[in-house]
Amino acid sequence: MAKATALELELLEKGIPRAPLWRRLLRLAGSQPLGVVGLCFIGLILFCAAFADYIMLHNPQEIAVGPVSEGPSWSHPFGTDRLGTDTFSRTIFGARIAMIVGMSAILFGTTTGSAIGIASGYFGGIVDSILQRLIDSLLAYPAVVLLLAIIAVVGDEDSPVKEFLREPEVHLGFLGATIPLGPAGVIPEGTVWGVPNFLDVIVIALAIGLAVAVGTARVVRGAVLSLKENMYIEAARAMGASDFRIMLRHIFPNVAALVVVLSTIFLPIAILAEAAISFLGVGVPAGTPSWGADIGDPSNRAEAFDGSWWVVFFPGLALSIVVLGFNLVGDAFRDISDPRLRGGGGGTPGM
Amino acid sequence: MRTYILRRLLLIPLIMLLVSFMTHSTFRIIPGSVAEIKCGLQCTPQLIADTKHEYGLDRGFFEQYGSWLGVYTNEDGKVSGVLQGNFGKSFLTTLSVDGEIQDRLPVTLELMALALILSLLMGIPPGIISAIRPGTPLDWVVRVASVLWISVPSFYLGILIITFGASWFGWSPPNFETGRAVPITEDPIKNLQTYFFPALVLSLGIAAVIMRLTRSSLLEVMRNDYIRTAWSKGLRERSIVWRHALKNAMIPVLTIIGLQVGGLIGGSVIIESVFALNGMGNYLLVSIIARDLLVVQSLVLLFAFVYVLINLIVDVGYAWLDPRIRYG
Amino acid sequence: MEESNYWQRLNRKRLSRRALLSASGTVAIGGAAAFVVGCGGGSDDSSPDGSSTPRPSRSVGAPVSGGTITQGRAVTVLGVDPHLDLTGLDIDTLLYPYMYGWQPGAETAIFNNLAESLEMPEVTEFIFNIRPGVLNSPVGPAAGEEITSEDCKQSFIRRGTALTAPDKRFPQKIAGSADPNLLAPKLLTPDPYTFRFSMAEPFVPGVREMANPTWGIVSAKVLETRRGQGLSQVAFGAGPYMLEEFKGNERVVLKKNPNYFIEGRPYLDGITYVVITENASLQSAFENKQHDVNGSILLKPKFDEYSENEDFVTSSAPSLFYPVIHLNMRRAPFDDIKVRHAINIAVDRDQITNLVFGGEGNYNGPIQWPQAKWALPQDELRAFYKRDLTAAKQLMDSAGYGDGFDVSLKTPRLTGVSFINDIARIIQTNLREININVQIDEVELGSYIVSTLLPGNFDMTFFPNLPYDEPDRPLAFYHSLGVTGAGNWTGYNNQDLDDLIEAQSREFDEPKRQEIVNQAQRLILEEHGPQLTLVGGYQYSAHWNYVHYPYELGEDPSGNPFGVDTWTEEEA
Repeated sequence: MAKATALELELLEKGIPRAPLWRRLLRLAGSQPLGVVGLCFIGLILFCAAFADYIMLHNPQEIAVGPVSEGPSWSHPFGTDRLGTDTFSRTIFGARIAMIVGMSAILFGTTTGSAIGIASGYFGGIVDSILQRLIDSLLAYPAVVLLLAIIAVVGDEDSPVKEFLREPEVHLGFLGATIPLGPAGVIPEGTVWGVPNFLDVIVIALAIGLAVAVGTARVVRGAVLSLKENMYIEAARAMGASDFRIMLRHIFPNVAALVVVLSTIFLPIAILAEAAISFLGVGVPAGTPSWGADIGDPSNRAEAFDGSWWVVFFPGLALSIVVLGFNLVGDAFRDISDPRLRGGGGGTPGM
Repeated sequence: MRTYILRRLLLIPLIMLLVSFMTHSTFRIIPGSVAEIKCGLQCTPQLIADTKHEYGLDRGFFEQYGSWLGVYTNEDGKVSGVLQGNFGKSFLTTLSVDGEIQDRLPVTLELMALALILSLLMGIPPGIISAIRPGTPLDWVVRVASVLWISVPSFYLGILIITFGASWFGWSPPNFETGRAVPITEDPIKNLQTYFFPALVLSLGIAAVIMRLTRSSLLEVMRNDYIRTAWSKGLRERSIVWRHALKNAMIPVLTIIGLQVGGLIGGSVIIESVFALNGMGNYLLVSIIARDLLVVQSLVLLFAFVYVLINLIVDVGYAWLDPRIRYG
Repeated sequence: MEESNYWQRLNRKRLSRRALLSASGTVAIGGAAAFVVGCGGGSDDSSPDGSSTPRPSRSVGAPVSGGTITQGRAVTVLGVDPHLDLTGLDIDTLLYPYMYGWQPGAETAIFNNLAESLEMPEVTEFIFNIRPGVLNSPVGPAAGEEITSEDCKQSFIRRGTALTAPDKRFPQKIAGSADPNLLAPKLLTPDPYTFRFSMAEPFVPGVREMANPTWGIVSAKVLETRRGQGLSQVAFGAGPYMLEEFKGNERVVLKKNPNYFIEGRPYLDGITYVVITENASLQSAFENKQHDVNGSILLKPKFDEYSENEDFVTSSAPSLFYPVIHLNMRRAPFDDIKVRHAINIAVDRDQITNLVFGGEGNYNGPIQWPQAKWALPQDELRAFYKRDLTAAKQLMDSAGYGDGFDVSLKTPRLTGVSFINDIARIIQTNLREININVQIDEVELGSYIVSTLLPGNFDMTFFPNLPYDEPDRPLAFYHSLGVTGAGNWTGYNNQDLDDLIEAQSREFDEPKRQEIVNQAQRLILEEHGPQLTLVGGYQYSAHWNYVHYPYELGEDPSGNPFGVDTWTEEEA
């Protein structure tokens, strides 16, 4: 194996063209069949999220589109619930909710997290100490509890965060002035992409993002601490570059790869987090076709107990498939990056 | 090493203070308090005000925080708070938090202990088997199983067990009958019936993590020169694995176990509510939803304390086990 | 045809006292969000009444003493103080004696409890003759002591002026003030067995009020000793049972009071309530015989399934719980009667009945349908609220809202309950057809109360009502002063209606009062008063067939106080 890699490197140096990309990918796929399965799962869910409107048979929110509490059939592949809502459509649409929440949370979380992490690591000293103690204490909360607390603050109908998102402006009381930061209603309250109460869903995403930020900040700071000892940072500083410039132009690009990796690790966690809090009944607004909410809905659970297992089973299955997909792909990447741990080889290791 | 431990220990009170202060602030920012919730939908502003006054919720921010902490007088004019070992009382039920903790801690501890045991049983042996026979069908089965364990959300699995266990097999946990989990000293069988499934659900994810780490760590160790030497000396496989490889391979595994115990605390919040176990996690969840300030503050403080302590023990233990690691 | 059916059914399905009691405890959303599960026709309690399904094949012997029963409970009991706590009312009634009982439906007093009789020389004059020999249970500060008129007096003062007594009309009518010190001298105790007082003017709802589970009679000595500590976590009463163990979020254990004033009763040695806030879990515990009495919220399909099972005895009773949607008349477009009218006839009430109440239910007017004495006739209501989208659209057009409008419907977020959202979604769907675009906004319960409901900060809001079996309270929501005397939430103000509502509360003559109540209701209909009254269903209950409630044996339901005659064949 090591020999093969060495040969490739050699070929690369000599400028001899390697096998075409698709062939290499194919070979990779052959060595990681489970990873491919995982990719398919993720692809499937992404596809559902993007094209839900075309896949769904009915509006996932619409009541009385079929008979009440009926098992899977051709017209309702996953059955219907007590209000005659189509479970298949809800499950498909759940992918969109999961992805919107997951992606927004990651986008918000990793950006804020890296900003805090970079600043903390770069400046060091008192700034670092304060930020790190704050992060320490946030990390000391059990994750679920931290989320519930954040949501309690930001999730309320009239919370300052929601007010701000409705009308992004800052009131300066002592000047009597209001500084607008963006047009009102940037994030619409109504239905967007078929997602009802879009703002509420986004606020949940931001809450999860905040928890993601805490984790990101800690890791990024560690990376920055070692980075900033590098010569080129010294050089940039000697040339009179501002702190902001150094952080943006010299440090950030070097941690960007790390942040991307973190994002892929946090994405399934964020999706799970949304499902968990919606399951507990404090996440997305009731009636939103979220997988977690559908599993946890007390009436759905009672229905499942009464024999309508499909209303709980399928949303949970979809959720499990997403997480499984990410885990399989994650495993495959780990195997590729550290081939020593790969299953293949055969025989007694090291012999 | 000693200074490192000392510094970490000194940080704990600071972190605890921050945690409790943040919790306290959180519940002051949000509109709606336990007063409104207890008062109910048919409430009057007067009744809310009176209830708030009765609970001391109309006192200043720092007054309330200080009296909970035990550095300031409470409504009765006494100084008695967390520092004095008094966690206050629930506004909602008027029960003392100390008493509730006494009742509920054993539940959560047993759940976590059983979950830990199960995850070790399901994690380490398969991990070892998988590592010494990589690439075999057995290895495959174990690896696929671990991926599945880690992928099925615990609350979903819990719901499946509790719902379909009841409707298909006519089974529901014994704690549904009495409202409380039977202590192990009273009836071990019933006790196990109560805790087995929640612990199993809680342990699967951890078992998977432990299994994977055991496997990869053992694989790595088995490639070391000293193992090669052992092979070349003609030692038997069993002796190599047990006497030489496993000891070193277990160091990172122990670390991850420690970290996962922290995760168990969070998991218990959800799983206890699914299985109607009246433990600490369930108590915290209900109190958060009811905005029961003092309970939340006290429980979060306790959870955070345990969590921070576990992390410290893990770090110190790691350094102690692996002499290559030294903290500044 | 529909009509006669309705009245017949109503007569058959007498309201049950137990169902009523438990429902009031359940829906008294005094409990926290987490604790509220009931509603939706749910009862946390079995409701033995005329509609139960006794099995002729099973021969049932005479009641036997002994044994205990276990009962599931969906709602956490925050406390058992009869005067202050609202989540344990059904348990309170087992722990304390009451002046008299109340027969729902018939809405008459039953003198089977502490008072042997009530003399009313005038409609404002109340003279209670207290039963001698009602002894406290052998625990607590007043162990074994007799309940006297002084205890009644102190309990009346405590309840009448309690924080949780919503309107202080009771002390107001007697003493002209809610001050306990002014009320005390007006409550007279000429001898230990006579308790009397007079009111400044006739106050009919007061009669119902005194039979409420919140008006338990607690020994004056107990009240005095427990001052400051309260009676939430302990109970020292003269009811049929006494409190053995109280853990409101886990279980509540009651045992027989050996001193109970009725010889040989209660039959049961004890009752254990097991609190599980998750409905499916409660149901599984019941089906697996872990609970003898079902505590979960039963919906129609499950109820039917149980009814077919020989092992269970089931019963159903009209649910007094009623959901409404308040429309804010301070805001456009709800200040326009045409819009309110259009909404009223655009909502598909039958769909709500079918999807939420399992197909069994009736239309509610301002007073809910199970209150047979007071509710408007079904045919009138059904004709009035008949769904007519064409007419609704025309009304919207003529109001200038032909293109519709966007509106927010705020609902309280109660974890563990989904029926609120179910109803909201149906209404959302219905109103979309007349171009009203409803957005459902869930608000955390605490925040809902303090920043949505009380200040009237809503366009439309969902409100789950308590079960009332008196016309005064449901009407008070329309009074310009509201239920609390501090003003109603919808900004509705109609002096004529206020006068009618006040007039009915003074009218002791039932036919005359009925007339006033109907007049008031028709006035509200005419104005399309600001509450969207919807439909009401039934509450269903079930228990294992070895548990017996006296009503199933054909005994006079006005026999003994609640819970006294329950017995079980199985020795626990």
